[in-house]
Amino acid sequence: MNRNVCQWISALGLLLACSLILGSCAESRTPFVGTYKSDQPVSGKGHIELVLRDNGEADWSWVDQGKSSKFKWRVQDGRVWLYTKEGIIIIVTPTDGNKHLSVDMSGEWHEGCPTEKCINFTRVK
Amino acid sequence: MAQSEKPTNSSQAQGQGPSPPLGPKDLIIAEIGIEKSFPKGSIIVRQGDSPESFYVVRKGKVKVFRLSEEGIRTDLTELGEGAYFGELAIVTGQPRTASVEAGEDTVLTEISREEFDILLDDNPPLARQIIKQLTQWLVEGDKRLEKQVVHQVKIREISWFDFALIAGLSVIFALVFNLYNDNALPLIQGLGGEPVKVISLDEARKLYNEQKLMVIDARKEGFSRLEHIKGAENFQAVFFDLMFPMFQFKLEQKQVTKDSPIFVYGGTMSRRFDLDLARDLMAKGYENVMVLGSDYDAWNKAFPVVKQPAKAPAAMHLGLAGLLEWIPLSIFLFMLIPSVRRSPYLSMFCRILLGVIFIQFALSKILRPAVFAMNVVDYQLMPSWGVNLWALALPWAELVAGLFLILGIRTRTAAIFIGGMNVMFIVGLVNAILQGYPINCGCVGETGEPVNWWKVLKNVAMLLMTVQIFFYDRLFVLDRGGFVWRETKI
Repeated sequence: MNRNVCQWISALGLLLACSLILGSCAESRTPFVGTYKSDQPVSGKGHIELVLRDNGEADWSWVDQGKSSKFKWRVQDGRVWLYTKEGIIIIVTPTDGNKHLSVDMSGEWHEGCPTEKCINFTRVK
Repeated sequence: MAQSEKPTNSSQAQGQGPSPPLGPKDLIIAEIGIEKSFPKGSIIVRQGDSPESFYVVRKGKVKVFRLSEEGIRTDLTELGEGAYFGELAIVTGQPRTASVEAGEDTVLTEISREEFDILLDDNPPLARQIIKQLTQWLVEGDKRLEKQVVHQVKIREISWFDFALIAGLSVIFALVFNLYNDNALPLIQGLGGEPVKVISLDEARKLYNEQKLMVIDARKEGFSRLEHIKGAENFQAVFFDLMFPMFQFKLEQKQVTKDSPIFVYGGTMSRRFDLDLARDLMAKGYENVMVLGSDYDAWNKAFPVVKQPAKAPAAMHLGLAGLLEWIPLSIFLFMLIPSVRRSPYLSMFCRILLGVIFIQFALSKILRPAVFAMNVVDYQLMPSWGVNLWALALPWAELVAGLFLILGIRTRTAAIFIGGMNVMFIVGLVNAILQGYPINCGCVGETGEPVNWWKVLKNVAMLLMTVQIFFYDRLFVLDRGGFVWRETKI
């Protein structure tokens, strides 16, 4: 072991740190930007509208109630992650070329969208 | 005192002491010894060998160095034409304590032990000079030893200032960043707020038995599924803003009006979900919402409960960061080998690895502190007033301590900080496993990490790495007295 080995280890560590930091950067939001509407009225209270903006902000509103909630969102591994101000993460799975979104309302991570907790949306704009 | 292989430069020895100094070049040695050539880089004398010869440099240059048990090379000096080495080893008969290599193509005169004895017998001035040099080296050796001891003490020194530095930087960064973060957190969750009607356990049970209460569990779904009051509805307080119309629909179905008695439970020491939901319902016009008082967590002893087996969150593939977390376990195996366990090179590797892991851990938590705060709430070990402060400051402590480890700043203190965090994580994880909490670990990623014994083991391995750093780190360290690269000439 000598100085060269130390330098190599240091360089490797820095490379690893950089790759991890770069790797954790979000993917492009652009393909998902748009307005989506729930396929069915939810609990008899009307449709939900989900607006995903390019600046990383999102609106969730009940169409007939007139009130909306704001989110932050990002894309990871091709899925949309919605962050509520309460600290809950809602995982959204896009399908059919991002025309449809399946929103997992369990607040937990699942491979797909569990049927009993899933709200399906279709892009309208 | 190592004296058998001290190098000598005849020019340095001149002019010291009352006797006129004499170097070998002043002696008639041309008639004895064998001339030998050594190409650049070849080893002339090896540390630990038994001494058989004494050497005079005729042409070229040689380097004298020592190798420690851990393989750390310390260059001692370089000797040029006219210098000689190996004489003391022959006098004392001790194994050679340093190695000598040819710094360039070199020609030496090699004088055997017998020839050297004759040389000494015939040249008392040479014998006197060797004694004088030996004395001089003893004095120099003591000075060098003292310098080394002071140096080592400085490296190993830790002070309260170091702890205050890491903690202070973390808190300052956390508070300043939170001011400008889009996802800023209030420093203390749930301060103030509208007062909520409090009901005793007995009253609540009485109304429940009379079926006059709408009972609502305000906790997250996983906890509610695990254990809830029979007949209770689960309205997750954290989803209220998003899902209130759905909650409203369920209340309407149960014919709950705005003035019906609604009993909300589910507060924990880390978050009063019951109070949060009760206030949200009151804000929507429900007038008769009640929560439990100081015995807010005793509902499961007073009401009939429904229990279901815990359902662990699904595991998500964490990619490179997830793989990285396994490396400490393999390091743990390396530590079973005593010589490796004490190696400063292992310390340096541990420092870089832990630094990278903790910086990676810290980044998402810093950007989205609310997610981490919810993780802290899930573990149910932190009082509610401390959750947000903790969620804001801890990731910065991870980042600062991780950077200190990588950059070699206050590494022992940084190792203590990270080790302390590991201990807390281990306590939290073990408690969550034993209690059967259906929670996400919040360790590497933001979600999709079930709490399990592997996570505990990984944290134990990281804890051992911090212990190794604490005891054996001494390479590549920026500390008091400047930057320390152990291999520089001492």
